[in-house]
Amino acid sequence: MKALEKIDQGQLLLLLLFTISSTIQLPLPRFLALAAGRAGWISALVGSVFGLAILAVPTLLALRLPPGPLPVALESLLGKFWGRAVCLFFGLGIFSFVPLMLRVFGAAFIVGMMPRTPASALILIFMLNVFLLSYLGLEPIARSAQAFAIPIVLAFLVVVFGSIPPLDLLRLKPWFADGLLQILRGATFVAPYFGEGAIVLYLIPALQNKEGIWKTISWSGVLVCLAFASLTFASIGTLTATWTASVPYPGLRLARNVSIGRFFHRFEPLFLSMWYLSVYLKTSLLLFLAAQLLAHVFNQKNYRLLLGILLVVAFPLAFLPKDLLEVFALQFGFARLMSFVIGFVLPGVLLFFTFRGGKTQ
Amino acid sequence: MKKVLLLLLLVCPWLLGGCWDAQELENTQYITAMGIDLESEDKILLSLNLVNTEQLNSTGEPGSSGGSNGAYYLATATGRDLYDAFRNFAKKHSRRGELSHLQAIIIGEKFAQNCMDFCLDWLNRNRQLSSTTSVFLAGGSAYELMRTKPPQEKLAGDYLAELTSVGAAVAMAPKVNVQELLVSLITQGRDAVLPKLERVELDYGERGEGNETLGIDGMGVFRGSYFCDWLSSHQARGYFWLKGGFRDPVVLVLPNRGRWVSVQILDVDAKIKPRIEEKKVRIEVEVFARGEIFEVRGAGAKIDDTFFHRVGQLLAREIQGEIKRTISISQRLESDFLGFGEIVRSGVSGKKWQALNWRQEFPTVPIEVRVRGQIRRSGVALDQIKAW
Repeated sequence: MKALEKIDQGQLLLLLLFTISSTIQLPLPRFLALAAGRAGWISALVGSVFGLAILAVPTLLALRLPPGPLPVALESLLGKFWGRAVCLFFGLGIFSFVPLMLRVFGAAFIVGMMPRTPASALILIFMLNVFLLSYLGLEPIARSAQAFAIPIVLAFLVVVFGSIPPLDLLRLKPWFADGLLQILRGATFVAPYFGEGAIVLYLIPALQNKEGIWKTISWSGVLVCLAFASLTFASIGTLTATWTASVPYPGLRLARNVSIGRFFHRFEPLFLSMWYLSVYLKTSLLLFLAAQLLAHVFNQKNYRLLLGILLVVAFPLAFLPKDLLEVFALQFGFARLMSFVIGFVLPGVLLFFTFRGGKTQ
Repeated sequence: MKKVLLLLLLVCPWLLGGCWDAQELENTQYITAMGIDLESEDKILLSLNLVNTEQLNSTGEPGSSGGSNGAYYLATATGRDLYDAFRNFAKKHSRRGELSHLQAIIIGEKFAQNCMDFCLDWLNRNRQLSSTTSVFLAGGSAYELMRTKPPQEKLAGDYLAELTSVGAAVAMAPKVNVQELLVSLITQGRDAVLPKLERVELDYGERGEGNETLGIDGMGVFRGSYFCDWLSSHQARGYFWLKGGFRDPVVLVLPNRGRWVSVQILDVDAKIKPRIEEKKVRIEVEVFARGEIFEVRGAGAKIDDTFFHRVGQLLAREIQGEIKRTISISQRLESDFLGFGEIVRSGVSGKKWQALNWRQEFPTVPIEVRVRGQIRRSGVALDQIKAW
């Protein structure tokens, strides 16, 4: 197998941040407002704390796996058959997010900015971009994350801080209006997505230097927590819980309300463009990882051929949900479950094997 | 493979050349102000101020919008709802109506009384509409007001957008935009207010169309989603003391017979404290207003600390009276436009709030108002100057 491309810890942090946050970032406040009402933002905080615990499992596994890229390490740990079987499961699990991300991207752009543009046209252009970046490999994906990090974070901050003038704390009080149970219910909409941090299983072995890795992982978790909680806080504090629960993408609605002075209005096109970059990075990374893992399973030396095949498969799959509500059902149903399985359940089981001692360890 | 990639990259610029759904400027009809009236039970009248782009940069008189030569013209359309009215508007216009530059929405009195719900969903869903667009309530019909061409600005929309800022600053009428209206209509424990827009004369000695303009004075208050009554700017002052948002309002006090003192308020700190005991709610309002002497007319005691103290007491009494008057109107109308319920709600659990039944409870809730006034300085003059 080709030697791993190398990334640094800063790049790992950004890739984790974009991967965990970008699937649900735009509609999350809606679901938290539905589940926990005014206390939705507390659910985001509590969910993120649980999420950090979830994220710790694949991180610990990645540190305990035998050396080498993930497929090689799995074979060393479990033997050839089971190693490949687990690799196949990981590969398919990660790939299952790709069609969903294509559709999530298309749906958000159509609802937010381009209602008359056919989704297929948007998704095709997006696929082309994703293919080009994942074709170039892990290092360019990681470097792109570095290059785009500042505009993405700035756009996010403009939306959150731009919401402060119309924000009213009364709309968020009392903090525990409907009880702890509702908050915990809301937390279940957040925590499982930290399972998408399973990408660390591939990324940690690719690190140039693993010293201080727990600090990096913790920081990425904290930043995701801040992103989720601040967006939900701003959304409920500005729009009220009722309104937040009634719009598909409260993040976009907030961006629309941003009004700074007499010259800075209607921020949603810029915000959506920056959000696009984070989705683009995430989808490229997931496609790259899925192709790498599946190429190993099917003994393909060149994973790049698989990139094209996977995208061709992903395109019709992206149109399986009939409407936006079905897209949401997948985002907050299937994706939530799959994230939990590949990011917590499976690594948890594998972790048990690393403590028992692998076959070739 | 590199060649294939290069080819792919060369294909990309074809996708960037333009959009099949592009909206060209010359095919767009910009709308700067919009009026909504209820014409009959199932018919809505939509009045639109449309920008005459060819004339916008000409050196014509402001507001000279007669015929097709003015900076804007008025067009109307009717329909069962707002969507239908806009579709009917398109039947007689070759250009596509564009609302992204809409600066004012004027809601007719009859519409607000009967079917405000009709436009809520439209305001929420419309993609082009900016959430900062100002909203007004017309005294009478919005259409009639939109026929008035304010001579102060070329576009009535520009004029109205500025008018609301100025009116709110001097505590004449609240400043409300689309987002604030929607939030106040959907927030439990709070009712909406809108500034009252009416036709006024620029020069009372003159008559005729050129002398008419639009002005704001007071506000319309809602109970739920229905307009219930008007408050004059005098009656509405209590609202501003509690809600803030105004700049340097002036209060007139009379320390002795024949003497008038205007106090410019520089800082107001209002606290609303609900006291909830079992199912009984009591509200305490505490206001602390600080200001400076703005104008003194008539003879009286020397302007010193004693005078400041006396004027401070009178100021507090005046403000207290204004707040009490507004609260009493609010309770009489059963419209919690001062948002006491929202504050109560923020301090109790969801279940307790439901049990309170605020709509029913509010008119009888005891509200105690305490005001302190302080004069901090004597403005730019220490004492009155007098002719010898």
